[in-house]
Amino acid sequence: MRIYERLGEGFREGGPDYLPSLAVFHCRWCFPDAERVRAMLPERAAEKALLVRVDCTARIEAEFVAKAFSEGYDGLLVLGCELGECHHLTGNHRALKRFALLRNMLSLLGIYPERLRLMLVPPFDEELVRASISEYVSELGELGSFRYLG
Amino acid sequence: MEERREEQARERARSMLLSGEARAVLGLRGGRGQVLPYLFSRPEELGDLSLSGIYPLAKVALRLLEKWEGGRLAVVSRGCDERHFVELEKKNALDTRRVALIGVACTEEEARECGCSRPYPNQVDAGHPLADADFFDRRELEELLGMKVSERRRYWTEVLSRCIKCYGCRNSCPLCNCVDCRLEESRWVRVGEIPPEYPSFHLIRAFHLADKCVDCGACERACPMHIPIRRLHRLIGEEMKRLFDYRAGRDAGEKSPLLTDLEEGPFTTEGEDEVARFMEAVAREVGWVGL
Ligand code: SF4
Ligand code: SF4
Repeated sequence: MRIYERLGEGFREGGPDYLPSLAVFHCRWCFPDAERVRAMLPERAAEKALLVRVDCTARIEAEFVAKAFSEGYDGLLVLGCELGECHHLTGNHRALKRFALLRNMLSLLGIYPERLRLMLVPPFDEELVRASISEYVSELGELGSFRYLG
Repeated sequence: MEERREEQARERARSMLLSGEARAVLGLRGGRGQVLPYLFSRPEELGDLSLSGIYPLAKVALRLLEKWEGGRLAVVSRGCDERHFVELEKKNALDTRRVALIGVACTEEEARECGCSRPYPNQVDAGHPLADADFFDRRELEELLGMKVSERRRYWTEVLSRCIKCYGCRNSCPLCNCVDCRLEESRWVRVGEIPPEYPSFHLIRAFHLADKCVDCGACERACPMHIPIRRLHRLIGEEMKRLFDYRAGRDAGEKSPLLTDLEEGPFTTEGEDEVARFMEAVAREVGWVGL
């Protein structure tokens, strides 16, 4: 099957040193600079991460999630403004609801919901953001490859 | 009993045509060895109006109203049909002033066959509503819910690998009526390849219907590969209830929580707890307390 043919480099069954591939969507109002976002990712994951800047977390549709996984990314991370700080006022409200549902949908379809993470964080607190991301990435490492494990 | 129900439906249809309340009646026509959708425009034809079939007529009504100039259309509607119209109204997909419903309650036999949870419309013109009866067999859902995530992955990849991307599920669904369908765009679903890559096609369709699906089962009946799609929709519908206390098809005035902010469409207490848990790492640090 195709998914097994397309195993990327660094493929392992999972475990602490599995290197997950990440698709990161970041809101342009709180995280405008892709390179700065990349710099906040754990070093090795940063290299193969896909970064996409979006106008609002609400821009991220179910299609993006479906595509990220069907392309074989191990995790999809969204960085956006905290509640109350959205440039479009309530875009992140919608994102929060959509992602709550999507996580459960993934689980029902056989994909670990932990692979999808929405972080509504204060962008100036780089240390916090960095720590949350690195926790997320190590969780992903534990889950292992999406192509292989679900 | 059945004759009586059919007679009631014909009677209502006849009086609507005669009074000018409707210019034509969309229903099913039997009597020729098959049952097919038919537009009855003269009272004399109504003897052929049949209730012995289950067919998503809202889809037909939608097409008809696009082409048809003026006039009001009456549609013979079971509970699921009425719920389709409720969702179509929410989507602004049709002008409700141009539609009148002739409500038909399903018989126990029909409801059982469909596994229906609400086998009657709000407005009943023919038959007797089987109130408080739920014919849905939750065992098939329990089976899936009882699995581990990785087992569900195996289940769905296996089942969905039968998909030949015929679009039967989309075409039969009255609520799948966008002019440009994402499922046909190569950006989202690879073109010319079957089965569609997991989870694209089915996740996208399922999400688009999450706040609209009324669990009529038309998609599953249409699927030539016998993929239990309705099971997925049903499970998602239950999530919508659990997270937002939302149920599609209930009331045209009820907005989808996916389209509103947290004030207008809040989480349920259970949903809020769940979100708090997945946001917890962040919440702890910045003192984010609930919503
Ligand atoms: S059960 Fe299938 S056909 Fe019926 S509303 Fe839901 S998705 Fe559409
Ligand atoms: S009807 Fe069945 S086979 Fe056809 S596209 Fe839908 S799921 Fe696939």
